[in-house]
Amino acid sequence: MRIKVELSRNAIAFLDQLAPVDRDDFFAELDRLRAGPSELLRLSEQYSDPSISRYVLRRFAFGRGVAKTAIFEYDAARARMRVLICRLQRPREMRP
Amino acid sequence: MSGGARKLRVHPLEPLTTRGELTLDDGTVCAIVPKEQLERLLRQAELQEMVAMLEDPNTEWVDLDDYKLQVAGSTIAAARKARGLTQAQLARQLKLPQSQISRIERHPDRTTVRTLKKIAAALKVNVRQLLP
Repeated sequence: MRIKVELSRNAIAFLDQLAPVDRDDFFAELDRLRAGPSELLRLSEQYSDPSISRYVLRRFAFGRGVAKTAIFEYDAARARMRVLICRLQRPREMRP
Repeated sequence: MSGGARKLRVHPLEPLTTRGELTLDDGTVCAIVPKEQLERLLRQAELQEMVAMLEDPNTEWVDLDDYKLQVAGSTIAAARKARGLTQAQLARQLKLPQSQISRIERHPDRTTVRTLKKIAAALKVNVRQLLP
């Protein structure tokens, strides 16, 4: 079952600033994720601990070059995901 | 390093590895916390912001498909401007009324593939580039 996707204004403001290639990659990733619950769980990773937050927050990476992250809430009962924020991924630790 | 680097005075409250305070020349007091702790605080703040967004009934949610259409409209307009054409000039080239070009840029879903192909040809882009 295809999952309904909604975006927050915050996420849209970030996406509007991206190059078309990054935005297209975001759409492509979302299309893969929303194909069904098993794909969503396989292609994204847990962001918050469900024992702390009652919301199921997950994230996925997208974009070319500098990686970007989208954090979303997945509501399995409503078959809906809500993209809360998109931002640049924090850089990896440099080796000393 | 630029020559304007500020001198910092550091007053450790406890061993610096756990916590400390740093006063800038302008009197701003900054806290020194371990990086791991700072990252945890930032993550907590981000989480709180997201939970607030989810719980706020006034948060506005935009359907992905609606946003894709909005992007498509702005892509057509950007491709037209990149060719240095006004809506009227493009309309003349395609033998269409200018109002139709305006409507297509606002609602690209309410047009035919044939018209979109014509627009793409006039703008010398691939039709796939116009639609996300």
